[in-house]
Amino acid sequence: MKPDVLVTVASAVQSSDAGFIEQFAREVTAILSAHVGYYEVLLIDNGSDDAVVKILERVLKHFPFVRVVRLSRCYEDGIVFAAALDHSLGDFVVLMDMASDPPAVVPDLIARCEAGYDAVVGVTDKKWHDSPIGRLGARVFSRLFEALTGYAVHPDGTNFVALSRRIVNSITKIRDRQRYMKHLTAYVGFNRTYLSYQPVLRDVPLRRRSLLAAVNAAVGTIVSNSTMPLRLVSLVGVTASFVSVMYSVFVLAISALRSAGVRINAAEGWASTNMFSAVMFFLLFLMLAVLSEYVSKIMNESQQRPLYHVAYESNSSVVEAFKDRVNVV
Amino acid sequence: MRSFDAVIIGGGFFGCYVALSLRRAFSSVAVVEREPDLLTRASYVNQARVHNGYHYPRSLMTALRSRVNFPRFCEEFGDCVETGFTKLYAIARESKVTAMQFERFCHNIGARIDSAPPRCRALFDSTLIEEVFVVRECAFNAVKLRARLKALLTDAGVEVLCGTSVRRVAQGNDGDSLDLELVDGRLSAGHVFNCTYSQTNTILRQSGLPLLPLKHELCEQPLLVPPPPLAKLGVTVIDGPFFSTMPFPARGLHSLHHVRYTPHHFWLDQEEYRDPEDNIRSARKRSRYPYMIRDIARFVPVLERATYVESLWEMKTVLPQNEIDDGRPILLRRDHGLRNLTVVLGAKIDNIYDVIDTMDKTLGLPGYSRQREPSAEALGVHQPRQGEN
Repeated sequence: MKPDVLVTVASAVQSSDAGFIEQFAREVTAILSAHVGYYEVLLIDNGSDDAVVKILERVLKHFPFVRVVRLSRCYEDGIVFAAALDHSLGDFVVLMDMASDPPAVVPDLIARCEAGYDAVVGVTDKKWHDSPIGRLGARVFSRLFEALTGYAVHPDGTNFVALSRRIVNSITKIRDRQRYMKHLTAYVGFNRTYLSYQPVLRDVPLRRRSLLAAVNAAVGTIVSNSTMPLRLVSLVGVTASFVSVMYSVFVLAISALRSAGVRINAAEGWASTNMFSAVMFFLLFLMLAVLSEYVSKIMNESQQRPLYHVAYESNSSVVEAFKDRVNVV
Repeated sequence: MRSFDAVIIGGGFFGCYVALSLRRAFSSVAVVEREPDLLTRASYVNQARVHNGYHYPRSLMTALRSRVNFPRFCEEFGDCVETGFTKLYAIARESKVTAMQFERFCHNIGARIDSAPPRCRALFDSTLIEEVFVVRECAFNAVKLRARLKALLTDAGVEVLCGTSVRRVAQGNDGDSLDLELVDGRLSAGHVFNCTYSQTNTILRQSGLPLLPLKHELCEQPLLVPPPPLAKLGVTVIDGPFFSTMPFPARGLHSLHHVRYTPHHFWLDQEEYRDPEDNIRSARKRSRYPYMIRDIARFVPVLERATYVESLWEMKTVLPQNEIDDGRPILLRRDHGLRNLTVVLGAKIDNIYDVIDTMDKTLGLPGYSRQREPSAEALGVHQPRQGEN
């Protein structure tokens, strides 16, 4: 590794991490100081509680090159990653979740970045994390996403990634507020590779999301990244109006036949009329639903508010000089 | 044992200037400096900025004091001041003051401010920088200042004892004078002025006197050769975790100052006493230039092409807020623990005039003030009306 390379390792911190923040800081600084010329550990304090704030103050006194950026409240993951990338200085930036990602893998991720990859995405067998239904859902979603957007996201890819400065600069230019790190990385392209790893299981309940939350995220991701559903809606709308024109032709034809003296029982039309309006209403509401998703997205983006607000920033002050000195007078 | 009316411990800018002022009241004055020459430590290792108020949009009092002292310093030490460069202040988008507030503030303190020409603006990343201004600020040349002060001290007949280290100060037998114990000898003095900046508490402690609640920071000041577009420019980005790169005339290079990376570590004497000199000698001084330049190049991309030369290291000693004299970042303690022992501690070079004025008033030693303070009207200070701001 080149001696003057600067590596940023960034992780979100939340209240549930209290038990292992110090352990994480110890592991990650030990590994970085052994492998990298210059490093910084960027902790994005995602509006955690006072106990965590105290722990972070201790971390800043004991470990060098740690920076804490405290967000004004708890934000979604995507926004926290945006804050991490905005504040990072490194030639390479590693994003990780201190609750599950192993610091020992960081040098491997960086080595691949140095070999020329702009994004090295961590891949893990998610058996430990997701239910079988969840994993099936992830696979279906992954296929669907690729079909709708034209670029692929690894179904087992995690948010444990190493990024080059080039790709970080591209991603930070995108100020969408509904943001999913994995998909942004895939969207900007560049050279991508995957690295599989074994997650560490710290003594903390897994951050599982409910099925509803997963579906919500899936819809959000697709709406943010693809206009295909909207195009489908137009297609369905055109088809429906065509069917509707055909049906009017049919009704006119019947009435013409009747006035010509052909005996047709009118009461027979009851079923088809109801059927027709049911189908039309179904299509209409479906289109409205899709439109409202897009309209709400347009509203969100058009407000132009900052993605996040920073409460304060603080950084390490370690008096190294006195660490291993014996005070003999 | 040699005897003086007044002995100043510390041959930095403050010590020398205090000595010159005291020479008007006393017939024998001496400056005792531990280093082999005058002005080699904190008076040399600093940004060399002569403040003109722009730096303090969040402290009107400090800004106004700088406005008052700037012309005094420039007049008295005009030949030691570098003015041949354009000074830019850029307001970051995540700044604590907006461009409009900054402009208004400069107007209120009567400091001139102009919009920067397009070629200067083009140096900044407009997504991170809101506005760029040209201001009136300059840098002093510490080498010229040293030569000038030496000449003044010689003319005034002040004795300069370099390479002389003071171990402790004690009250003389008469209960009025003071005895100085040197590493190799003794001195006697009617008055002693402790102008040793970061060593202030060290001397007090060795003398068994009460310590002042000081904060010490180990600071790194990288020197660099700026890329050609910045050669004749000084750049300061405010206000928050920001930075400055400006000419360092003593070396013909640019210095770099970054709020986040310049201080490597700090401690408070009232929490845990440490000797700053011991600290600066033994600290592992690994440069943070790679961090500084990467952060700075986000705002001024052309700085990526700067060439690093070396870093200067110095202890910075800061006064806790409650010790500061109504907005002037100076400390002046008369009879501190011993009769006729005065402690003087200031932060910025032009604060010297506040020190001398305060000495006039509080020490009752007449006639130190070399110049009159310019009036507010002469400076163009805008007197805020009721309801403004």
